[in-house]
Amino acid sequence: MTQVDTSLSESIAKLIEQASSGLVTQQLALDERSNLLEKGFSSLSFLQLIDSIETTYGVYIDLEEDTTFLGRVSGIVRFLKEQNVE
Amino acid sequence: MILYERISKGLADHPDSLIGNLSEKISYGRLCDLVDDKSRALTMALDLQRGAPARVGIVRRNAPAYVSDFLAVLRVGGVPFLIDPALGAHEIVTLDTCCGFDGILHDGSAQLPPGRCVVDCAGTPLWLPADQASSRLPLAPDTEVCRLTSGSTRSPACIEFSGSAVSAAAQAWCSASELNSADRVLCFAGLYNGLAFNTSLIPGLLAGADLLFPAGLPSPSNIARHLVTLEPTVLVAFPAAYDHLAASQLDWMAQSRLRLALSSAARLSLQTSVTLAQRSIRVADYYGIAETGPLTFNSDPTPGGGQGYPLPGVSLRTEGVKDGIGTLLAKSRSAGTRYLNYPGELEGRFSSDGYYRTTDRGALLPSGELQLAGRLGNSFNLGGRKFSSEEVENLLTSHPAVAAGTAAVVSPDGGRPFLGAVVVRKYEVDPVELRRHYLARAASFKVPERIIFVDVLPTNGAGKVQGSKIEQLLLSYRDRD
Repeated sequence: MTQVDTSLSESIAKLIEQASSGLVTQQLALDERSNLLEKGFSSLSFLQLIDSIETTYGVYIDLEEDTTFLGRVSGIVRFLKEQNVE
Repeated sequence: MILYERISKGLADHPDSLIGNLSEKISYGRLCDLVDDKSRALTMALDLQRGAPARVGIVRRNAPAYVSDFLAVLRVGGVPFLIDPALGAHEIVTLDTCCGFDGILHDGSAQLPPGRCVVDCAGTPLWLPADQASSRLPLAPDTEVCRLTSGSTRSPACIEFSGSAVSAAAQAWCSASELNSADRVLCFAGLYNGLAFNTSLIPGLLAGADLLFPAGLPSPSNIARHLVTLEPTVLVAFPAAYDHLAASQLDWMAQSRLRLALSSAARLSLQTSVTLAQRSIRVADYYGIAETGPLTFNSDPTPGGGQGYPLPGVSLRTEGVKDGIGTLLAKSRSAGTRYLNYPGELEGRFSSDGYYRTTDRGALLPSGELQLAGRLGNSFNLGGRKFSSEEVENLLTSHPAVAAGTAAVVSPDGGRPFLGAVVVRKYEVDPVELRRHYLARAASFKVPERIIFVDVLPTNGAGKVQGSKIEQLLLSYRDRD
C-alpha cells in the first residue's frame, strides 16, 4: 500500500466513524476481514457516508450503479483513485 | 380482475406517458407491448392449475421492468406478491413455505432459495420452486394483490388485497392529491412498499402520470441529480431521505418544479420540515398503514403540523383518550382482507363496525386533522421500516451461541435512532460474527447496529425484561465483550 493509499484509507476510516456516530471505530473500519454491514453500519449510516465522501472529495457516487465498493475502505480508496483523488 | 382492467384503461388513455429512470424510459404504449410478451412467457413457464390463480412473487429493486412484471402477473390472472428485496434468504424461504409461490420474478438482487430452475421470462429471470406445494392456504376469492408487512406479526405477514380495495386507495389518493397526467412522479421508495404502491405506482398508472423509479439510495446528491435532470412535479421518499436533504448544503431547490413532496411511515422531524420549507419544499407527511392503505393527506402542509385530513372514504376515531391522545382506529375502503399466513389475526383487529385498531396513538384536532403521537406495543419504526421486536429477538437466538437476547430502538441525545441488542452468550462469539449470521437470514435493517453482551438480561420481579435498563445499556456502550 502506498503512502497515498494509507492517507486516504485513514481519512475514509474517519468519515466512517463519524457516519456511524462512533459505532464503527477507525480501527474497526480498517479491518478488511469484514464489510461495513457486518461491522454494524446501517443504510442510514451509508447515506451519511456517501454525502461525506462526495462533499470531502468533490466526487459523485452514482447510486444507480453497482455500489458494493462502498462496503470496505479498500473499495472506497480504489473508487476515489479512479476519480483521480489523491 | 378489476385492477388489471382499470390499469389497462389508464395505459390506453395515455400511451405517451412515460415510465423510467435516469438511464431508461419507455412509453405506456411500449409498456403494454412488454406486458404482452411477459404474460405469454409466464403462461408458458408456469404450470397453472386450472381455476387457481398463479402466485408469483416479485423481488426486485425499482425499475421499469418492475411495472411490466407486476402487470404481466395480473394479465395472466395471477396474484403478484410484492416482496422487499432486502429480505434475507431465510425470510423468503419462510414466505414461500407459507404462501406456496408458483414462481418468483426477480432481478438477482435477492437471496432466493434453491429452486427447480430459473427461466427467462421476456427479460426477467423467473425462479421456479423445486416442488409444487401439495397443499397451501387458499387465497380469498377476490384477492388480486398481496403485500407484506412485519410491524404486527412475528415474521413478514402477507396481506391479501382485493382489486376494489387497491383501486379505492388509488382513486382516493388521486382525488385528494389531484394527481393527473401532467404530473411526473419521482419515487425513491421501493415499489413493494405502501408509500410507493399507494401514492405512485397504482394512482400514477390510473392517472396517466409519468413515473420515475430510481433504484439507488436517496442520498442528497442522488435526489438532486434526479430533480434537476428529470424535473418531476412530485417527490416521494421516506423521512430519512428528507432528513439528509435538509442537512445537506446542496443548492438546487430553486431549479425544482416540485408541486408536492410526500413522506410517510414515520413522523418527519420539525427541524427537517422547517429547513426544507425555507428552501421552498413543503413536505406533506401523510398517515397510512399497510393493512388499511393511505388514510390522510394535506395538500397545504405547514412545518410541525399534523399528518393531514382523512382521504375520501376514510373515517378515523380514537379510543382510550387521555389528555386528548388515544389509540387510533381507522376505517377505509382500501383495507386488506386478511393475512394469508396468519389466519384470523388481521380479522381480529377490526371492530364490529369495521374499524381497524392500529398500534398508533394520536389526536384528532377540532379542524379534523390528525396529529400522530407515537406507537403502542413492541413494534419498531426505524427510518420508515416497520418490524416487530419479536422478529429481532427470534433472529438473535437463531445463532447457536446466543442463549437469550432482547432488542430496542434507542435515540441518543442529538443523534439518530438506532437498533441495538443486548445478548447473553453460551460461548465466545463477537458481534461481527453474529451480524454475518443475521445478515444471511434477514433484512439488514433488522440486524442490530450495536450489540452488547451481558451475563443475564435485566428483569423486574415478575421476570419481565426491563426496557429502561436495556436502553441505558445500549446508550452507554459500543460493541464489546
